[in-house]
Amino acid sequence: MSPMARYLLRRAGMAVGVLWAAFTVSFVVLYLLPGDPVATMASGGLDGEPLTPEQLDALRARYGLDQPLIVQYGHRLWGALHGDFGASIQNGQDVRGAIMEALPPTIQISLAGLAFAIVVGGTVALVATYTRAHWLRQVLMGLPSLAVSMPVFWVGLMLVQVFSFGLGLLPSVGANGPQALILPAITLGLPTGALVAQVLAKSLSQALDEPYVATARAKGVGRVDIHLRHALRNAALPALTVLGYVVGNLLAGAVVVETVFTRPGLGRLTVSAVGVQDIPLVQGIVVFAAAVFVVVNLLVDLVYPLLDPRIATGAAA
Amino acid sequence: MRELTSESSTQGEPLLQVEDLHVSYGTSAGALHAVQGVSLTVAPGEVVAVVGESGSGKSTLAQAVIGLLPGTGRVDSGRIRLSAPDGGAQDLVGLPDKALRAVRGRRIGLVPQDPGVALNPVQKVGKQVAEVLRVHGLADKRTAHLDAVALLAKAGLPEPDVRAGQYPHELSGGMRQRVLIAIAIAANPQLLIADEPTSALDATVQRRILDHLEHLTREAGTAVLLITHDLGVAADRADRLVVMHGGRIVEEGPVGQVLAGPREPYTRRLLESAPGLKPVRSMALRPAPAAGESPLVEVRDLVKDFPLPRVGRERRSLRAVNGVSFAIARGETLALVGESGSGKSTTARLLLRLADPTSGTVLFDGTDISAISGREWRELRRRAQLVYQNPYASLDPRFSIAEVIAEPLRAFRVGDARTRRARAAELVDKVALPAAVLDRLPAELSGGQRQRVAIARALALQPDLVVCDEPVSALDVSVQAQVLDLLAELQTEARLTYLFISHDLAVVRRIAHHVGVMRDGRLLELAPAEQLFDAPGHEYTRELLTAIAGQRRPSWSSAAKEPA
Amino acid sequence: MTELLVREPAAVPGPGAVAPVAATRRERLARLWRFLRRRPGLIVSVVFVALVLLAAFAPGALAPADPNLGVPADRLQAPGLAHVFGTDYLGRDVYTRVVHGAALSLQATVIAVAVALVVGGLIGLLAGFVRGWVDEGLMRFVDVLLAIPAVLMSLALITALGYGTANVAIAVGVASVASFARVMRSETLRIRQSVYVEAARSVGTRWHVTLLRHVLPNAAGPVVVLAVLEFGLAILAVSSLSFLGYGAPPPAPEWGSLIAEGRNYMATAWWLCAMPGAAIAATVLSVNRISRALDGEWARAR
Repeated sequence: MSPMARYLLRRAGMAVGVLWAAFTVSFVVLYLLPGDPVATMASGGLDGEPLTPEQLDALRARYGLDQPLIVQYGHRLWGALHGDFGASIQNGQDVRGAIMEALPPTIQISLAGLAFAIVVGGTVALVATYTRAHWLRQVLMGLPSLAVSMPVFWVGLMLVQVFSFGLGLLPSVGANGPQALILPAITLGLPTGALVAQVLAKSLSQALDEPYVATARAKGVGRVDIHLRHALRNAALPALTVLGYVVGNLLAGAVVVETVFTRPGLGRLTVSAVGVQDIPLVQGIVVFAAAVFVVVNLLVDLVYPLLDPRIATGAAA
Repeated sequence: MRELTSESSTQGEPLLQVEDLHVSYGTSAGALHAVQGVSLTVAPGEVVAVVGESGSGKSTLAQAVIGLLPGTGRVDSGRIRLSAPDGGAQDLVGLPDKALRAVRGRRIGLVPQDPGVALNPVQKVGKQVAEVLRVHGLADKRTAHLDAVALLAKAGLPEPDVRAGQYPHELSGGMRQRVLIAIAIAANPQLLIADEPTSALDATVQRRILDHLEHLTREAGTAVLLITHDLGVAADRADRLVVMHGGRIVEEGPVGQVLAGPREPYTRRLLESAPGLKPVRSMALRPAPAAGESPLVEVRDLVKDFPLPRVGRERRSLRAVNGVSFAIARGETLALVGESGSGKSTTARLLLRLADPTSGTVLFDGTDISAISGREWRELRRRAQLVYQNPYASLDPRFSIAEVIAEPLRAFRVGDARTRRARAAELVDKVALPAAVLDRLPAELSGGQRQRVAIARALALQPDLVVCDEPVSALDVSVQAQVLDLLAELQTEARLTYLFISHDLAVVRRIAHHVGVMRDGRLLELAPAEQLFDAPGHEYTRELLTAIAGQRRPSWSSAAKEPA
Repeated sequence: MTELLVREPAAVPGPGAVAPVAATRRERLARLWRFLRRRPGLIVSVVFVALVLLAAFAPGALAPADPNLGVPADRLQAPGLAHVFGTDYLGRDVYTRVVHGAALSLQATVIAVAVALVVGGLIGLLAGFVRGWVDEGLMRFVDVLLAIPAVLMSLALITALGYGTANVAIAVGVASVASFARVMRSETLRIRQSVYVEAARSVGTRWHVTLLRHVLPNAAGPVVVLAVLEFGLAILAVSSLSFLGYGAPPPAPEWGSLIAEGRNYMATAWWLCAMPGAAIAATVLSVNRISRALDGEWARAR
């Protein structure tokens, strides 16, 4: 077996381990901590009709909540291995089906947000480290700190206030057409873009202080070439690492953004699931998010050796 | 040949003329004047060495000449005139960036300081050499690669076509420095600035690379501005010597003249401290170890393996120490010498039991300590102490000096807080530091002062053995000499036994009674110091001895006779 | 540059002279003044955070009125002299509600950071100092926490624990345990492997003394920086959850829920959303600025 294949296999094994652990952690959190979803339904109920104790027991039996925890755990883990996370308590729908149904609009805003983050964050970092105008650098580097300090939901509301109510340019709610995608994507991508800008600017200015840049300057290489050909490639690794870590945050950001813009999607599904203590659905979403995280970071690991030859031989050794 | 070049240079126009140069760095506490009114000239084909200790402004001078001052550095006044091949001269100060770019790499080449970090880690070295040619329009896309391979061959790299396709991390330090030389000479510049070109390399590698660089520049008639802290290297390589101190030139002149009759006290002191130039022996003052007594330390067949990452199922390990045996008599200094990776530091750590030997025995005062643990191990800490190489890292930055020195006393519950402080004051006095340092933090002390503090800490428990692991290699030469003298003094006073680890034979010569030479984990030769230096038994020892810089010029007359 | 950082008083023949560094109290104060004079933004940040803390512990000092009492006649008034932040749909003063909202929001934040600091710090310290399988196990656990986005982790905890300010705080705290554990571990490891810790070991200092006297004090710096930074993030997380409606039930003012309420009047009364949000943003911005100042800016500005 080639070293690369072994490296990949090891990484994939670790990924499966993380997923199992994420399942277990969410099981512990959701099932072991106090709180009885069936009782919640019984007291309030969605239609306000209190249930009789017999009905409660029947419900518990239906969702397997009457069995010992370890049995429930084994049962659910076995199901999860087959992609079956049980049925939603809320409406009896299959959890996997519910997630898949809610997914497409969330993927849309996540990808659009990610593109916004990379393009805007990358541009800010490149210009801020390139410019010789001290004031411009100060202003550009101030933007990310400002962007990460603002609450996401508030940014969304302010954008709606200005662009929908104030200028009447873009729709404030809904998911119809590409125009409805612009404001949510900006809202979602802003904190990630700020992070990309901060990390990339920091690693770029570090790279520009490295002796190999001095060597390149001593060769007579121009500033643009030094920036793009020498510094950027060396500086891209930390930014990529951060990107891998924050992709999960896009999914989490969708919770807020979809609420603000009243868009359908995984975020809204999560909010409603939490609202009625729909434990199987919440667990399904948590494990799904962990899976996304694991897959993205696996991809990032694969890109590393392409950017940095030192890692390629390190994996082979 | 040397004589000829420097003579011819006096007639024509100088190649580089620096006039009254002032350079400063802006800091929040005001401007820091790094170079203050420096003037110097370099004739075509001449080798001028700028010598100075850290903080002398020599590197700043070099960076100013090539227009690459880092960060907040700027030229306040003065001129840097570089004569053009067509006659006229150009002032580089205040030249727009674009015009400067045409000078850098093309007319002035730079061999930078640390080959470990001076190459772009994610670009193949061939491409990095070719870039100079491409930038200055000396080759097109097609020919640049072939030219780069030829340049790598010229810089003395074996298998240049293979190397060109490799990344920097796949090459050794010496090979990387050769790549940097290839980059510097690629465009055939008139002037080469070499900023501590080999300080990060082992002595034998350093010598080979400097030889090659000298050969290349003499052949092409390139002038060299050599920046170095090592007077030995400067004496070996330069035609003219410029001594810098505190941002100013204190003395300059032909090498032989400066070495034979230094006018300034600072130059004299530098000369006296330079270990390679003057084989000083301070041993005469010290008592010879008494014969017949049992040795304090004895190691037999010491072996240490370090596990390496596995390849497949195969377990691999690195034998860092391989069958080393020696003994150290009471009151004696044994020095272990070797280049990086020779296993000398590991041997010292095994002897102190800070690491566990794979096999072999260590006897301390007649007791086998190779496998002790718990209380006995702690008891050993009382009797054997270690002084580390880097005084910047070995002191806790949050401890006051008094706390640092009293730490061993605290650990063994010797006395109360008051007596411990008194003892710390006593020790500070012993290592010739003022009592005022007791309440300072390590960051407020210079490197030499910190190393004295580390020595004071090592002496706190009145140990029998002190292991010094490269105790002076992080220090400037004049400070080195002071610390070595202190160690010798303390030895006579308290009849200490030293194990002295060093890569520098010249330093060892000052302090050791016996010297062991190590390579690849083996002890190649162990002999009394006089004998080892006068009549080395092993081939490798001879190689190390010839690599000591400053020996090519035992006196001015013999250097003049030397064929070029 | 290196030669500027390490200045050796080589000119002095003896070792007598000590490098001139700020040592007296007056010199240190002078340095502090020099440092602050060039950073007006930092001064503003410190003052603002001080005001926010005052609002959290003694809201009456800044806004004496009752936050839940409205004057119906004054409903939905734009910001002006009488009401700097305007009034809401019940005629309640938005400024008063924002000031009183600081109490609940910051209490939750403090609890969250404390939970994360204590739990994460202990995990990191243990992992970094004990090493071996303990380290391996703890860090795998931390990896898992990192793989679950913080907001989702918090939501899962709220699902289990139920609504309320305290539960929101715990949920946010647990979700940021991972970053503290990682920083604490890497700091502990770095210091453990440092030469001065080995030096302490080689002079016979016992391990628990080393841990207390060398490792903890030196690791504390970066962890404090992270705690301040994390304080800003926690304010955002707490207000997000309260915006989603998981915090204190109305009419109790909380920064996030104030914005959620104002959302319904956005078309007509922009200030209901804008003002509380600006308060949150300004607080987080100030906290981040202070964290940046602590993170080496002071040490670098020599």
